[in-house]
Formats: sequence, C-alpha cells, structure tokens
Amino acid sequence: MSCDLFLDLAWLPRPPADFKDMCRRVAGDTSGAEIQHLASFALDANQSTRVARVIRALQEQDRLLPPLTPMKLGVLANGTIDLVINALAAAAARHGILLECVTADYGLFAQEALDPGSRINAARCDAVLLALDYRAFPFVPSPGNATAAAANIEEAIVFLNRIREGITASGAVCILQTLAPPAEVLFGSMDRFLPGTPRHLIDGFNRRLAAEREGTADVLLDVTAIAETVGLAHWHSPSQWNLAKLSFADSCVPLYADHVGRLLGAMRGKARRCLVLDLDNTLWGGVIGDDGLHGIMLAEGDAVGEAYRSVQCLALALRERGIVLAVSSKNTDEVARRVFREHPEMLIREEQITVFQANWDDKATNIKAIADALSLGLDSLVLLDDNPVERGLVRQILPQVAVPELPHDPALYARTLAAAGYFEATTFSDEDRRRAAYYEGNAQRVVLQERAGDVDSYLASLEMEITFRPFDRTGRSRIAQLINKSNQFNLTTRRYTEAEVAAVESDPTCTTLQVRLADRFGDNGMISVIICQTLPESTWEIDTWLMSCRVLGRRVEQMVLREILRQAREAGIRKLVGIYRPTDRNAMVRDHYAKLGFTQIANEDGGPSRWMLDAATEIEPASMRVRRESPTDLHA
Amino acid sequence: MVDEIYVRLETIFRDVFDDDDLIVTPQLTARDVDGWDSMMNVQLMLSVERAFKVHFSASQIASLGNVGELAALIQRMT
Repeated sequence: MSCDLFLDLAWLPRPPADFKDMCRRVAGDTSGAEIQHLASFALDANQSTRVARVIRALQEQDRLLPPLTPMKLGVLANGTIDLVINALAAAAARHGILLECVTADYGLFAQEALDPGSRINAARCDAVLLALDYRAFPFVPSPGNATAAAANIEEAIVFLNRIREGITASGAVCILQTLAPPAEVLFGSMDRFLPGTPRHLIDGFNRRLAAEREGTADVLLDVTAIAETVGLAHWHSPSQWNLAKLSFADSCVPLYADHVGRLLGAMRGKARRCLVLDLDNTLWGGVIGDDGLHGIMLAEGDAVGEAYRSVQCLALALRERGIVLAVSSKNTDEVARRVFREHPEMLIREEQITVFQANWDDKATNIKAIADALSLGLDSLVLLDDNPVERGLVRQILPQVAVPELPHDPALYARTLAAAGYFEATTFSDEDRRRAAYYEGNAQRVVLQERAGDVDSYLASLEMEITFRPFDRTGRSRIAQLINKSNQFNLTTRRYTEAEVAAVESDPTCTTLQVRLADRFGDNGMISVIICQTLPESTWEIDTWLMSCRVLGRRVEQMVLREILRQAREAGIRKLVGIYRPTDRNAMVRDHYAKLGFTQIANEDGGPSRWMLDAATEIEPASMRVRRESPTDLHA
Repeated sequence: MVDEIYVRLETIFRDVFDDDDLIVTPQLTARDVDGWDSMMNVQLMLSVERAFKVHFSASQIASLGNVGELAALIQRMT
C-alpha cells in the first residue's frame, strides 16, 4: 500500500538485526551522537520503547548529551498517551532533541492546563503538546443549522483558548493540533458544506485554529494532514479507541511521533538547510557520461523522465523557500555541467546550484567540502542519492548528514524526500525568501582538502565478492553491450559487434575476462570487461579494459590487474602492455595505468599512450572475496 | 502449526516485555509475568495482531484466560 511509505518511515534505514544488542551496549560513556544514531532507524513500537529506556537511564544520571539539545515537553491528551510517549523520546532524538516528557493523569487535561500548580504547569516545560482529538471538544452536530454550528465552533475555540492561556501563563509554548475528522459521514458528500455536520464543524474549527495561532508563539502540528495522508480509515481505529482509548491507531504512532520530533527540532533550529543532489539516476534517468546528452531521460511526457522531473521540481520549490541546493556527483565536471547548460528539458539551472562537486573522489570528502564552503554544519545537510553504496558510505563516515533511503521506483523519490520532513519550519520570513537569491550565481567548485574518513573500513564492511570468468555464450550479449556503451571508464573505446565478441571467445591468442561484483546490497552484475591479446616476446597487450562507473572507488581495478597478472604468469607471459586512447569522454582514465604502477613507453602528442608493466609485479589484494568460474557452454 | 504459533508468540512476548529468558507456555497468564498490566496487555495484543495479521474484537480479547487460549484463537483466525 502506498501509505506504507509513510507508516513505515520508509526514508529511514531498517534497524540492524542486532539492534537489541546495540541498545544494551549503551553505557555511561555513550555520546549524544550515538543515541541519535540509535534513533535514526525506522523503529517499531518495541524498538522505540527500548531507545526511550536507554535515554531515560542516561537522563537519570544527569548526563548532558551534546549535540542533542535538552527540551522538556508536557503532553496533555484526552486519550491514552502511553504508546506515544515512548515513541516521542526516540523520534525527538532522531531530530536532535533530548526529550524529557511530563504527562498528566488520564482524563485530566483541562484541569492540568488550568491549575497553575498542576504537575504540567509546575514542571516549567519548554513546550506543551495539546494532543487532543475531536472527542476532547464539545461538538454537537446540528445539520442545517448555521447559527448553531457557528456557535458550537466558537464554543470549542473558547475552550481551547482557555487551555492555551493556562499553559502560556506557565511560560511554555503550546503545540496545537488540528483535528482529524472521523471517517464516518452523516449524509455523504454534503457533509463538507452543510453547516453543523461533524465534518463541517471540524473543518471550521481547524480554520479558526490556524487563524487563532497568528501573532502568538504557539506552534501548529497539522494532525489533519498526517491523518489524510495515510487515510482517515487507517488513522482512526474504533476498536483501539474502545479497547484502550487510543485516539489514533497504533500503526500511526511512529509517523505521528516523527512529526512531533521534526517540529521540536525545528523549534530548536535543528531543521536541515541544504539539499545535496546526486545527478545520474537521481536528477535524470541514465548516466550522462555513458548515455550522452540525448540518451539521458528527463523529458516531459515520458513516464521515466517525469519521475526525475518531479525530483527537480521539488528541489526548485525547496530552493524558493530558502533551502540551499548543492550537487555531489561522480562525473567529469564539464560533462555534468553540460546537462545544466545545454539539455532543453533540464529544469534546474547551473546558477541555482550553490556548490557543484562533480569529480571522481569519494562523496564523503565532497560533502564535507560542501558543508565547509557553505559554512554549514554537516547536520544541516541532506543527501539525495539513488545508490545504496554511496548512501552507506556517507552514513558511516558522516553520520550527521541525513541520507534518505529511496524506493525502487524513481517516481517515488520526490514523495519520499518530502515525506521525510527534513526541512520542517515553524516560521517563514522574508529573509528565508531572499536566501535563494543570496546564494545564486556561483555553482562554485570547491577544492578538496584531506579525506573525510576511513573509506577502506567501509569498503571492507561491504563484503564484496568479485567473480572472474572468461567470455562465454551466456555473457556474450552483455559483454557486447558494455563494449559498445561504455565511454568514461574505457581505456581504448574499441567497439566490437556481438559476432566479433563471439569470435574472441575461441581465439587462442586472446585471454578474456568478464567481471562481476556483488556486495551486501546485492549483485551489481557484470561491471568490467577485459581483452588481452598475445604478442611476440611473451607479451600481452590489453586491447580492451572497461568498467562501470557505478563501482568506481572500490578497488576493482586493482583486483582486475591482480587477476590479469596471475593469468599472465600462468601462461608464461613476462610483459604487460596497456594502451590509453583518449576520446572526449574518457579523460577520467588518463592516469589509469600510471596509478597502477605501469611505466609509460610511448606517447603521441594528444594521441594514444603505451604503458608497460613487468608481469612479475605483485599487486596488493583489496578487501574482497575472489571467485573464479569456468566458461559455460564453451563450444555452443 | 500450533508449535509455530508458540515460537512466534515467544519472540513477541520477549520483545514486548524486554526479557529474553521469557518462556511461553499454554498455561502462562498475566500473573506470571512482571509488568504485564493492562497497558502492556494492549501493547501485547496490538503486537500479536500485527505479527499474525489478524484483528481481535474486544470480546475476544476479554475472553482470553491464558496464552493457550490466545494461541488457539490465532489458530482459528489464520
């Protein structure tokens, strides 16, 4: 169901299998950042309770837990609030708040608010959440009687305002909730406009509530919108109300709590301020370096293209309300910028991106550079990236950066980003409106400083397995496809037809490799293709070496060379020769052979260069398992 | 079938009561478990409903005397 995206907090990573143990490991020296990490997963009721217990234990030791900001929240409700309270502590920590909750006895919300000496008012709360649903108010349906309806709404507002005054007198900010109308209708569609129906009364109340808030310090939590998003029938559970006076269904508790957490975070300046965008398969469909300006998908009228356009539309709308946009992409700078400059369907313009990082370095280092260039903390950044490996890297090395999980279907990227509520705000000022213009115009490229963190240990955690197999019938068409499509990581850009590839399979002067890579996120499929040609004097010349940019920075090249050298020595080869043939697309591999320890032996000006390596050279293994397979159906 | 229900119930009970040593038997009742009050009972029932994708009415919940009767109810409904 599409409401599951919201109910399951699908933008948050799932808790690891050992989550219980992670919570148990929390000790006296645990930092606020570690608590925030525990809360950063999509937690169910029991897991939230566990985190809440951990937080409470640390609070009892009077621990300050920076970067979490302490906040005392009173909660007044007309239903049972126990399930929500535990979820609130975890959700608040997720949004940078160390929450202490003060609650009232069941059914006493009005008394608690009005009595200056009550538990809530005496506790000197920073804010009080009025978690009231429609059942807390004296609504009396009067279908068709406009005068009675108006009086009834007024009565409900007066009642609410008395409660607000009581709370405000204690010095706390009120968090007011709009009311979710019940799913049950009286007439049908007429309920919307006929004065005095339950729906009409609640609509009227909600409008008045928003107006009453004007000019006060009070904050609004739009419960109506949350309930409508997941569906009123889902939100209200008559059974659970009867059973335990839950004013909304238990399945909605994580979502509700996260909304409260966002609001508290926004009240304490913890909302995010910058959206960092990946490019290939995030802002458009396809890979610009391989598919080219006319091959990528972002056209209006094309179902695939429109998915990416909706991401661009959302990014632009966010920018209009003051969110800074940046780019972090593994690409050649010039190639990536060309899309912004020349693609007719591109919605975001280059000057609307404040920092533009397109290079082949790791994303953690680039994102750190973006934060520094903008003078923003890493906890102000959100990274939108379709690639789970990149998301994992940034989460591990820069845990302060928010990195939403993305669903399989790009049509849901924009919805998922919006649903995550990273940019919650309680006010919107002229200054916010002007911020976009203030950041306009530079699309600056920042020079990278030192590495942001230990990429190697992240690579080790990926549990990579590389598989080598000579060309065969099974791999043939994919090999031919890669040979004809790869532009960027392609040393010679020699194109061969499928028939030519088939001929190479049985050519005794050729040694071939099709390379696959799997990791804990799944199988990346065939990601590299090698053809070595035997020359006189015990020499192999590397005719073709190409690789998918998706696995760049994972030491695949190193492992491939290790394998070539191993097979070369087995075949009695003494010398390996590599060729780099420059094209307008493959500048990224200009230094490929130099980086791998080859010596340059020939170079035509601006033309191909030749490189040599002694076959006896030993290459350090990278952290991945190696599998070697025989060709299938060799003689088919 | 019933055995499998007990295995799954034990996981749920351990999770809800945060007690990895809890052994679920047909005779087990609220009196036998620390902290099994009315609010925990609600949480337990909601967790069971979610895990087995069933919905209990208030009278069904009220009629349950021990875990054996809960397991039998789940078996009837799934």
